Amino acid sequence: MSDLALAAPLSRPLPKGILLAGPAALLMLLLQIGPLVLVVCAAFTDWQLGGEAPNFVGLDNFRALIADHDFQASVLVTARYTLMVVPGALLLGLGLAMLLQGARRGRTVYQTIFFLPYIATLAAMSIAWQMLLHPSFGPVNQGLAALGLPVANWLRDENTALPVLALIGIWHETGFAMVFFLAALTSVPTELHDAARIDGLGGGWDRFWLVTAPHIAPIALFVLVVLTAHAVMVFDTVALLTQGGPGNATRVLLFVIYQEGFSFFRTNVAATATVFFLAITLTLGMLQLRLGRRGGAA
Amino acid sequence: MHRRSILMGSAALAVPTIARAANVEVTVLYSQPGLYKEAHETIVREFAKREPSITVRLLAPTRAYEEAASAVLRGAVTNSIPDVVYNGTNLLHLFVDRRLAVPLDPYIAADEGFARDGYIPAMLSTGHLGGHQYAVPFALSTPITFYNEQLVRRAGLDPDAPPADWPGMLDWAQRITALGAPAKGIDIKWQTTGNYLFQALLFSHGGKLLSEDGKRVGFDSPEGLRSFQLLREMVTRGGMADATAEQAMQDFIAGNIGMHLTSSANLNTLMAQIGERYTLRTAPFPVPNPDARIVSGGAAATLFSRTEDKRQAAYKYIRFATGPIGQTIMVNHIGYLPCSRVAIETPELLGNYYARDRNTRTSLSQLPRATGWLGFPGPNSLKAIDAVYAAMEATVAGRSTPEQALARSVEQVNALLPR
Repeated sequence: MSDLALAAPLSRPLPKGILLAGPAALLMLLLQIGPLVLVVCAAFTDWQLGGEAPNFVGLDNFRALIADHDFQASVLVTARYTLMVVPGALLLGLGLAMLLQGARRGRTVYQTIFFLPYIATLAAMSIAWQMLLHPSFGPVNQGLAALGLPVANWLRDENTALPVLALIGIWHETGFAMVFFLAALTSVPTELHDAARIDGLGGGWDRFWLVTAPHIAPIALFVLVVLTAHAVMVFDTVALLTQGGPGNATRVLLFVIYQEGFSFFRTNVAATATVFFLAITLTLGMLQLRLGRRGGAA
Repeated sequence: MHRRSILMGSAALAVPTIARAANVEVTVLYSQPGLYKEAHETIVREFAKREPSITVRLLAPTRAYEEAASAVLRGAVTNSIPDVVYNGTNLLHLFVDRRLAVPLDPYIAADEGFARDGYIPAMLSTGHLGGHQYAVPFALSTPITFYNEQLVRRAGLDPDAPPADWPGMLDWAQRITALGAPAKGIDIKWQTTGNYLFQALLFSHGGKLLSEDGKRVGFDSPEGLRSFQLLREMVTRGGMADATAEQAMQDFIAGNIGMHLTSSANLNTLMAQIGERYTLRTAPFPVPNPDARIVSGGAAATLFSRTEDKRQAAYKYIRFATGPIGQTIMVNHIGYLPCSRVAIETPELLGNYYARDRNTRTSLSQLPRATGWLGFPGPNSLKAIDAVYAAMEATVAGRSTPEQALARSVEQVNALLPR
């Protein structure tokens, strides 16, 4: 009895806490953790959707995947895409933010215009891009031809398909980067700029490097990580515009997972690729969390 | 029991009727609603009139064959597979390997009307796998040549004497290309799902997809090489562009391509879209000799029901949809090939339809030479199809020589086949 009496005050906060956190935790367990565990388990079996009871195959799937030419290509393609989109969107976003910050009038209008591509559904926008880039009646080729410049079947050419997708990616992400940079720039105290000017730092570049840059560095790092995460997760434009082709030129990681799972029905292979993909996004997520904290503190 | 005889009596649903249980519901899944919706709805309505004790419920259709297959496989996990699914005939392996499809042989053996309805053996063979009949073809097509009469005439060629073999075909293509841009001689829709046109080239040359024991590819052969070479020659001699399937079709409709080699299933769409722009003609698929095999594929009804009463009911529905009346409805709506000889030869059914338009008869004329559209066995079946696709793409784009493309696809597919 005395045990109970002792335990009661200790356990009292628990039921209420569980009651409050329970539904969310349960949903998370059911909708996020559960499937995740299943996916990881499937990566170690020969199970395919609709097939018979799975057999444990150890690391076979991982070995096969790493040896798979298409998968190797997809890792490279994803890396190349990321290396094009992230610096592009980052620098353009910063540039636009600085221009807008200096703007006296129409700032909100421009802000909205530049942010629009990010809000617009990339899937719907892909269709618009497809029309623009059509080899015979697309305005891009017609414009180039009118200027006497060479034309191409942009999305069917191995050399141009990925850069074109990256351009669309930059067009989409720049607004996102810009909004963050605008917020960061506004937080730079004007007194610092004034003080710098009095100290003789007249040039814009000097002031940018010595005053602005240190202030926006944490945000820039944060934006860098988020943009990288976005770029690694590119799918819509690939699925709608190139289906990974021509050849392997635009076969990004997420598209490989989709193809393995839903076109080839190799569920175990798709699960293995997903585990690989998760490792990348988890690393980025953790980085983002850590930088977010630091950014908040700064 | 009252069993009405339907038209000529040939199509009576002849499965021995077991004691009528209460209403049985049969669920049916099909793909490509844009094409099939009306046909399927009409067939279900007609079936309901004749078999009031069976309720056929059409499920929300999927966009493509692969998605229907995906629904079946998901259904296997959640125990909710539709009773009847119209599958792409080349995907049959997926369901047979996983032991989901129900063999139809016992039902056919007990069905006296089956023989009477004149199922064409060559077409039935598309639903045959491992010694069993797993599917009954519903709407099949064969690859044919579509050509632009005016463009052919402009090149000084006789549109009434289209070439029957490849040398003639490439010659025509070359002459049409010589008219200068934007005219292009030829295009083959090599991108079609399941390596359909690759198999058309391969099988018509007498090649095999698989070795005798099914453990290795069978196209590591002169016929396989010839298929890739033809693909390349169409580009180098025939003016074929490295374009997407949609781009090529738009180009043909616009009147810029002389000959377009694709599934006869495109006939209605092409006729509608070309309209009065030019005269669309059709010719048999070019082959090295007159008795060459022609690949035939499309949708076939596959049975998945888990209980015997559902299987009985679903089989009756399958028989109706693939029998003379169902096939007449199907052809009138979408113009695919019917698998019932009775339907083709009876004037009130399809006889008059085929007498009316010469373009519809081309694919029909290839029917006796039909052979199945095949899939690869094992768990990597569709990945193997993708490997052949990649080899074709590289050949058309000129990134690989036909020899390299053949060697690479043979190596890749061999590695993907079950041992």
